[in-house]
Amino acid sequence: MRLKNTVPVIYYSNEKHACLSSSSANGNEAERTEGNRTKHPEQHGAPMIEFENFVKQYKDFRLEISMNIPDSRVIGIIGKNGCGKSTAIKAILGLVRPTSGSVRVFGRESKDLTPRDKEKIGVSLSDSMFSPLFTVEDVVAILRAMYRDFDEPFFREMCGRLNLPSGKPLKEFSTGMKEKVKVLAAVTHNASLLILDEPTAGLDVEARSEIIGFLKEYAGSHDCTVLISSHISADLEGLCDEFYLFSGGRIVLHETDSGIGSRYGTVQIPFELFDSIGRQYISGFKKETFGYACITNSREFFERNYPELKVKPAGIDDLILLLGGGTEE
Amino acid sequence: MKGLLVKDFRLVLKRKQQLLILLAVCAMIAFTSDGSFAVAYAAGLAGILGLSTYAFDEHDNGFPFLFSLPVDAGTYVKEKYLFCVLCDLAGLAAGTALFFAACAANGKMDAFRDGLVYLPAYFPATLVLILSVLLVQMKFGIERSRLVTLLLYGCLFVLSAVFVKIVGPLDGTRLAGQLPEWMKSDWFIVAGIYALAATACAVLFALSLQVMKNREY
Repeated sequence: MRLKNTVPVIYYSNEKHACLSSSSANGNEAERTEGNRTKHPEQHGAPMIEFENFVKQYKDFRLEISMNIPDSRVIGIIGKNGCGKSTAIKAILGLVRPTSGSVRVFGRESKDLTPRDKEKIGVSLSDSMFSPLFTVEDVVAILRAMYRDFDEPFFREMCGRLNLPSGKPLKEFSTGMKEKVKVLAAVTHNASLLILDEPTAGLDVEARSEIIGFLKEYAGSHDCTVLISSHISADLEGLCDEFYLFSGGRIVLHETDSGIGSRYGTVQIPFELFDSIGRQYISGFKKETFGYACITNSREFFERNYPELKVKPAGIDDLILLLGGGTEE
Repeated sequence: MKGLLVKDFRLVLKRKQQLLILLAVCAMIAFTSDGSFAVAYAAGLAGILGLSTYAFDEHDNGFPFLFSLPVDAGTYVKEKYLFCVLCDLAGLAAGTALFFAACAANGKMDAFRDGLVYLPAYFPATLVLILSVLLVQMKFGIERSRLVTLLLYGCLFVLSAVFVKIVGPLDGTRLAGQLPEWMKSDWFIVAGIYALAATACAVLFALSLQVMKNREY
């Protein structure tokens, strides 16, 4: 059972950027650089995407979220299948409309996005792509006609690097090859907002590694906001600056990558000790045979006060499992 | 718009075999039977070919991706209408060329000259038919649209039968005889058909736009 439904704490510590910055190394926090990304910390405040009391009601599912995604950040949306990640992404693209509330992209209601606005968005969706009859050559011709900033030489170069045949219909591609085409189509027109819905779902380890490697390279060298959803935690660790954990159509956690690493932990608490520990230190727990498997956002508290307990830094999987609806009393 | 047109042209060209078969059938009709029917047949089939690109867009949950590209509902509907018009015109041109060849080969150039008056009317007639099917497909999706189209045409047939039963069969010659002299010209009738078709297309376009704007994916 979850003790807290939402953790409305937003940390823009930027530590990941800072550690890569020469200026931050000597304590200068005014400017942080990662590859070509040079940003003043306060610049991260301008929201690229705003969900304001957004509600989408389906017959058997309700998505109810509020979140602001600032400029030039890599945001991970995590959660189990069916928790509302894809619906949120479709709402950003204006593919579904809110039952109430609003979602704004570039300051404009998503349903009112113009083709010109959409040229600034690169999208890879989990279950939708170009017609399977098309070849990579057809895709190139379509993208060339669709986007004024389409970088055809880069697209072709990447197709070569990723071993994507240009004359073969997409229907004959493997799942991994199709995902690569989708991701390439999303990143080759100088988008300032990249939206990737489960880009690694159903892929083998090698294809996942190639796609994630490419995305890391891209995110590090382009000044753009990246929104990536996945239920595979390993893909997002080290890629994202911040995480939103969705569960049952709600955001149950919003935390920075560094915040998760420094403050969250898993603790195994025996039954007899559980009731004596203040619940404010336990974010979620699950009853197991030895006692309770708990997740805390005060790892230090347990390390200091309960040295006899097994306390480990929490990973994204732990968050999904213990905060994302997988808990039981 | 340009990107969508490129996509649709490439989709049609993916079916070269079907295109060649259609041309062969049209040529056979033009040379062996009533040549002018080949014109209507070619225009209609070419329009259906254009219409089929909508099915490809919808196939395999393609719309969410399509509308994540720099495309909005208005652009999509405009492009689809334009593409159907271009396909229909291409079919009309191909059919007319075959009709001409058949007339020339059979020494019936008089029939071709007579046909030049009414052949252009095939274009608006087939176009309205195709665009009305497109509207039904947009509203109900490809699967359900088949049933809905069947029901619609079934209803039209029943209504026509009831009308004929009550009012009696329309005598076109008698009705035409009642028209003023200046309205009896072939060109006037063709122009009238174009005007009616343009109105129908405008209504269909407005409805299609409304449907696509309200759709969710």
